Amino acid sequence: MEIDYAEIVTSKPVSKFLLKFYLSDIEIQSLILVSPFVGTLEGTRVTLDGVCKKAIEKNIPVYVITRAPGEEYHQQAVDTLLGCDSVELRFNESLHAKLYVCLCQDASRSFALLGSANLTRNSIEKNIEIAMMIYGRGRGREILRELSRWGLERLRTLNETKLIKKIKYQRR
Amino acid sequence: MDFKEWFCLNGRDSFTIDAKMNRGDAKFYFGREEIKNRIKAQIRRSFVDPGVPKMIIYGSFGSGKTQTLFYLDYYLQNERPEACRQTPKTLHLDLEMHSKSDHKGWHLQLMETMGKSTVATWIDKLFNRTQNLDAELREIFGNINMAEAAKNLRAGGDIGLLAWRWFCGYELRPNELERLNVTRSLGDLGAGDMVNALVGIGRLAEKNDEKIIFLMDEAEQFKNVKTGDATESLHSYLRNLANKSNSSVGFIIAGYALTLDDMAELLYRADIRTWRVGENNFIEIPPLPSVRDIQIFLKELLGELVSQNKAESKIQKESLGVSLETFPFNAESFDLLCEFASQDPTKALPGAIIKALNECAISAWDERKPIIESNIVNEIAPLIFG
Repeated sequence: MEIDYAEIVTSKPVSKFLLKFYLSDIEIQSLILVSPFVGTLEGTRVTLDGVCKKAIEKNIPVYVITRAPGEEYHQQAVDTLLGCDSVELRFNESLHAKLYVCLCQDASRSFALLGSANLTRNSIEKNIEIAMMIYGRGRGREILRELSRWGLERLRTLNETKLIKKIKYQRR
Repeated sequence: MDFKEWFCLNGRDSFTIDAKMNRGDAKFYFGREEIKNRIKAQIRRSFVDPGVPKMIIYGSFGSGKTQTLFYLDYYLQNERPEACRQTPKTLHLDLEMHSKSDHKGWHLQLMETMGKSTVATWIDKLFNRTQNLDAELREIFGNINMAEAAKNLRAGGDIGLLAWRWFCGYELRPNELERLNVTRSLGDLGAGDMVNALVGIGRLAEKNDEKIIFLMDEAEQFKNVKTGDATESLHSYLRNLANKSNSSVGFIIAGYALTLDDMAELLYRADIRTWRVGENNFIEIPPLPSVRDIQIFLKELLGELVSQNKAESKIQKESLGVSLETFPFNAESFDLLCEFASQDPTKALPGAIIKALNECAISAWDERKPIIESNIVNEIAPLIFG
């Protein structure tokens, strides 16, 4: 049988993931962004601010796990995340993994990106990156479940993962 | 101390139950005695007439349809109904349908789930017991082509694979048909022919003291089919599979639908609903109807997921002043969560309650609090039930 639940992405993988999230008109349950380094992505097609705005507008909880910022660009991104009510932010200094998961109400529409790319402009415009996009079809669904559980439960509850900011509920 | 020790979890990392990832979770079916007993009663009856379960389950996202399938698998394996004389051979699959998917695609998915080696083993076992395999296979399948193809399944290498491809419904070339000693490809005559082959395999399984029961999830996938002809062929496949004359291959199909007529139309068409599957075998998994049901659900869940010995000792040692029954909640926060969950009846779903429980526990863990207090529930529950 043809494998249609996974795809290797070599061109701007993070941008592809974010664009799919940003343009999606289906009901999204949550967004998980795991990246040691995060930038504002200003100058790229989908900025971090754009992701935050969509999250607020659609009431999507966003779980971000990154390292504590050491550089200015990272600090600016963290400031953007701190200003977004829909974001939960955590720092983990041992983090090296890069994982992005978009969980949809209809599990078959969920997708994830797992690979080398940080959530930074350099990873989109400059670096050579490779990643695997996984879709919630067929066996991809089980992989997505494992990845989302790792991000949402295991990584968030590690002793060295520190909560920086909680999601703020907005009554509608 | 890590998260699971903090909350005295019983050999698991979180409060999530997921039978797909952890088969041990299949035995759980919390807080739904009535529906559980109803489904089990229907299954028991179905082994008397028509001989196998034929059931369609529907409900909202997070209502527990997948868990129901896994629980029923557990039930069939561990509390086999008396009327089921063979060992249930349960086969799980997530349905996948595209705009042009038809009965051939469905048949292929069922066959692939069963697997060539399973069927070949049944034929091997039959061969070891019988004097005349040809005659036996002709009787089982009631069709010479099917019997010939089945006989070839025993062969290794190319010919065995060819026979398997024939059973899966692939269009074979004339020389390939000749090698199998069959006169046509399976499916040349339509969906009914493919179901006959599948039911024949079901009879073969029975001869080996096994009963095939497919547990098919994600039936909302049928809604992806947009072509009229494809829809009709799928309906015809289901119609044949649900026919009273099939007492060898059972199925339980589960999918997202808020109401009966929210399902793919081919699943609830009058002939299927009234005559083939039957009204009583259409089961809705509704949200938990009342605060009391949510309380029972949560207490049963905590009772299984939390190590009672460890929790009891922690409660005493740290003078937490909470009941073991609701740990890691205190009485107030437990009631509060149940009230939040019951505010909107459409959101009182097991999936949402488990998510709320996990998020509350993570929040308490962040603050290194041994107990989930009301302020945490007030913070988390509106995010999920609001």
